[in-house]
Amino acid sequence: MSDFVAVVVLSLLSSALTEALSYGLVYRTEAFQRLKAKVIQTEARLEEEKNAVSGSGKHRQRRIDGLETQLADARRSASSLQMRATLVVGLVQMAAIYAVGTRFSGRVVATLPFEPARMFRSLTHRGLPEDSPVSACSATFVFVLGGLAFKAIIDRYLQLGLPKGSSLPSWVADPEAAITGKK
Amino acid sequence: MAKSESEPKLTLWQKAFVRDLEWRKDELRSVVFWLIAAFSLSIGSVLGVMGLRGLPCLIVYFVSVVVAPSMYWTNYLGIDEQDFGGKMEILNDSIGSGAAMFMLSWVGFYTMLHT
Repeated sequence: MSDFVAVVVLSLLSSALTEALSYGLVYRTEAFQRLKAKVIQTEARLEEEKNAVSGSGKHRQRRIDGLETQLADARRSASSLQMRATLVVGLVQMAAIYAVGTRFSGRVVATLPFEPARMFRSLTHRGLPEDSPVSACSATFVFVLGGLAFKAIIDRYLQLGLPKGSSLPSWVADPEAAITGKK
Repeated sequence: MAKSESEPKLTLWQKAFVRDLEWRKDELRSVVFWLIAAFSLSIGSVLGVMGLRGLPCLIVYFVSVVVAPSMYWTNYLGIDEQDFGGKMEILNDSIGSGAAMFMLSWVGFYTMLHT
């Protein structure tokens, strides 16, 4: 159990480190702050336009289209700034996973309350002996789960990055409109 | 619907307990994220403490993590999810991290108490 707790704590520290790296490399730069402010402002104006009841349909639609283009451009520029952090963060995470896997190699840190599907066993059993039980869990799996959970929590709590926009492509969010071409 | 200027400005968490207010998409997604996080940790902890195992627990989780929040925003907050792009648009960035939190708490408590 102490191994499990140790891996979870390492996972939390690793997530905090990667967020700090992203902040240092990207989020605190003037360029990113300007783009973030533009995204927030444009989203607010877009929502106002979409909720407005006055104004003619064609002109309002043209303004909405213009704002959506501006928003997409700002997000694209911010994403290209984030690329440098993504590379560094990716390398740090890979190094952390490798280090944890090596440190806890051969040790069962937890028991899974289910039998993992074959495609996940390479992750749940990474570094464990071949004859270890199916429900044995490696440090790598716990570390990856922790990383997913803590990264999302830290990201959402600190809100250093861009506001979460529409995360689904329009044809998924509104398939009927995509097929009929109506908005 | 225009807000009266005399209405006090509520914090996000105060809004979460008041019915039939106007919501922005980012506000709703924030509240749903934290709701799913708490829900996932709770369900995982309960299943782990009780020593329940197997695929049925996963199925119960994945069904309830979609149904419970959508009942909250539909029946309690009075929100039409189509105004925000549908159920998956609201849940999308919360389910992955929620599932990770569920697995972590379920595995942790099960390991601690039943092995």
